[in-house]
Amino acid sequence: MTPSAALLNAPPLHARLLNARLLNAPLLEAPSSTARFTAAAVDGHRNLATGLFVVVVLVTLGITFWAGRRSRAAEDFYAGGRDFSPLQNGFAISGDYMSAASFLGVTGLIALYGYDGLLYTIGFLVAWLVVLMLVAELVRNCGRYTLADVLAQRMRQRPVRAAAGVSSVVVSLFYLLAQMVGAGSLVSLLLGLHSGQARAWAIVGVGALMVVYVTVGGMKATTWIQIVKCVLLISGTAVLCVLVLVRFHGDLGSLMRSAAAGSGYGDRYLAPGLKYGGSATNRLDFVSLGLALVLGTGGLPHILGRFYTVPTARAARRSAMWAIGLVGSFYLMTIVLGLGAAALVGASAVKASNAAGNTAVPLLSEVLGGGAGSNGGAVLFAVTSAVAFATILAVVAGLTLASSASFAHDLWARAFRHPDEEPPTEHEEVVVARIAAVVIGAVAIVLSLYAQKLNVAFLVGISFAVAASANLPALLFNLFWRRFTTRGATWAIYGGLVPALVLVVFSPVVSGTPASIVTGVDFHWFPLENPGIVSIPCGFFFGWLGTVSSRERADPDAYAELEVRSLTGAGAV
Amino acid sequence: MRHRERTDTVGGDAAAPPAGRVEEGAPERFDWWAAPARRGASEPSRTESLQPESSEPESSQPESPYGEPLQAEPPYGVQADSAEGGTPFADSPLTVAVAEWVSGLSVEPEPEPEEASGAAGPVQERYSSAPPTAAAEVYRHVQAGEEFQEIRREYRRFVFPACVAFLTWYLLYIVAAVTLPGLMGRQVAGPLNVAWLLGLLQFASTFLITVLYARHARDRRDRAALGLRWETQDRLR
Repeated sequence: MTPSAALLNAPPLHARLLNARLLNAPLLEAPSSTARFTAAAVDGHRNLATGLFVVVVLVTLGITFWAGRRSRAAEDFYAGGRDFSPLQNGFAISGDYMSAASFLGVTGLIALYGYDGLLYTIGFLVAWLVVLMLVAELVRNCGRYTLADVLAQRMRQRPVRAAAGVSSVVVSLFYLLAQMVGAGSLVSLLLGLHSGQARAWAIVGVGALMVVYVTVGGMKATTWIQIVKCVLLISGTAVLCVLVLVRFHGDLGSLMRSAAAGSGYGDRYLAPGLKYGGSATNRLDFVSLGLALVLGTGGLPHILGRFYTVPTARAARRSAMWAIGLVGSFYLMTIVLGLGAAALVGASAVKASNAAGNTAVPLLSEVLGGGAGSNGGAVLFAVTSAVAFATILAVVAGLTLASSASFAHDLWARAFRHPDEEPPTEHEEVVVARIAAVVIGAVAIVLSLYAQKLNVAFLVGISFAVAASANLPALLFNLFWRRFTTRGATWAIYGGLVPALVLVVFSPVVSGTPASIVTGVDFHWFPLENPGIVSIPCGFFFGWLGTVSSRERADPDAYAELEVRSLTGAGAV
Repeated sequence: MRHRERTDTVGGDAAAPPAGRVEEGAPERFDWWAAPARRGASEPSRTESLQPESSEPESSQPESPYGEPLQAEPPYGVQADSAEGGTPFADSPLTVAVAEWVSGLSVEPEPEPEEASGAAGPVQERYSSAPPTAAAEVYRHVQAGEEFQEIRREYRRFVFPACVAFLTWYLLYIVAAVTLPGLMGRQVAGPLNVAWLLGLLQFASTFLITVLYARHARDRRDRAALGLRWETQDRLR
């Protein structure tokens, strides 16, 4: 795989960061080669950063136990009692969405590749229009806790819950895996611990924390952790952004020019093609990725679940608007940070520290604070690291909660149950959800330990592509197509899920190139690394095919109820 | 009544004390309204809490049945004074064309034949365990009603064209970025080139559509939807 192919792979947002390069790279093992750090400064950073990490852990645990004391019912566990305000939920949604990969990875991409880094920020923001207009309000009105609720409202319960539950768990698990593997490398990177063992312990620690957050605090704790994290992240980014602008006296033009100079590419830095030039396959791959990004967000279970934490559809709309405002301004600020890193740190120094550019923000904050070895530099570096750490913890907690909710509410309580069987009580369901969180956490920890050598971009790629191919077609058909049937719904989900997974297995990500997961064998025949451009149409196509080929007809009463309920909120929970 | 008192960037809820207070009790009140409409019998748990409050909805109905103020504002501090002026999408030929096209698809409910077949034709097998109930009748009736049709028309008239527009604009932009590097690299002003300009315009258009959508929903749908929700839930009782 060429470097540009490796980079292309990413919903790199989350991905770059987590990229194999970061995980495997010898560069990671030898950060002192940056030469920017003196030994003493590194120690100083590390102590301060460790201290702040401990503070973050204590604060989040405090929130968890505080929230856990008050939550008992299923409504509390899954939906945080549904009494969050749009403002709070908007912050929590943004917190769920902006992972450390956005903060560190995208900024690094912009620092290294200029304009081509900017493309990611746009895909991740524009996706929110789908969520705002097609998903947020309607899902809030139709469902109770999960995506499957919306489908089950007009379909036969068991098959659609099984399908939607499975795809939700798959999406969340891949996403979780990516975040945790990335978390391991990040924590060790930020704390300066570089042995494989330290990384493994970091993964176990992060995994254990997330299980505690979810089992003890449920949605209420998770939401508050997201809010705190989002405030930290936005204000941290804003401070750095202002410091960069002050350096350039508010002149964005001179910032761009200095960045172009510092990048070593000159004018090419500001033009497209630095990263996505090259072969037609590469370019097509990028379009595929762009499609998966813009459509995937609307099908991510942990984002959908957030809309149930507010009381009404209008509140859901307003939380989506807050999220758009926050996510948008955050990405605008990351552009400034990325340019600032190129201009003030220099692309070669960023690359020397971490080839994927993940350390651009910490390095930039150090320069802004007064340079390596200065107190200001050490403080800003430590604060930036702690913000990134809080970000990781919050995102994994949100994912664990979403997958345990899907498991307990959809699969265990309804899909895996004979229709004549007595349904479980809410209390039993919540107990199972808590157990599921522990199990999912444990599975994620174990898988992440084995997946440390995996190209993580691939994991995130799968989760976005599956969300866009399986969840979104079923959801949209269900909401807008009167004739949509149960068979259509299950076909849409499996018809998107299976092609997405199969195409990834036979893509260059898994075999056939030096950077692949499996080396030595070449069984790839699908040229693209992101399956979206094929699997998303598949999901829609099979949804249509399943519907027109099914013998049963859609229940008009159920659709009437769904429509009235989705647009007016009549009967909404 | 203009359903806006003030423009507030920090969320209408927090800023409007009387309504904000109502939110404290929102969950219970909410249940009250939600429960009668629930179709399946699978969620028995919360019905106990309904009885004691049975007289409340009548009294609280006019102000804030959602437990949330009507005066909510989009969080952008937009001065949407010319709201009645309509959205830029509302009357464009494209909008009308798309709306017509959309309604030409099978999404329109075609209430008459459906109802006929539901009543006289072979009995449709229902998915929920309960037999067809009065609730289903109510929903069918509401769905066929002019009020609901109007709400749905307003929703689709904005959302469908807007989605087509932004997805097209985004995909064109992505495709242009990978296929037309020459054009995209052309300088516009100072270090700013076409690619950066279009990228920043993507941000701007996202914010703009967000604000327009919120305004459209607030001015054209929210009140009617709220009223209809109320009415429907009344009839479902």
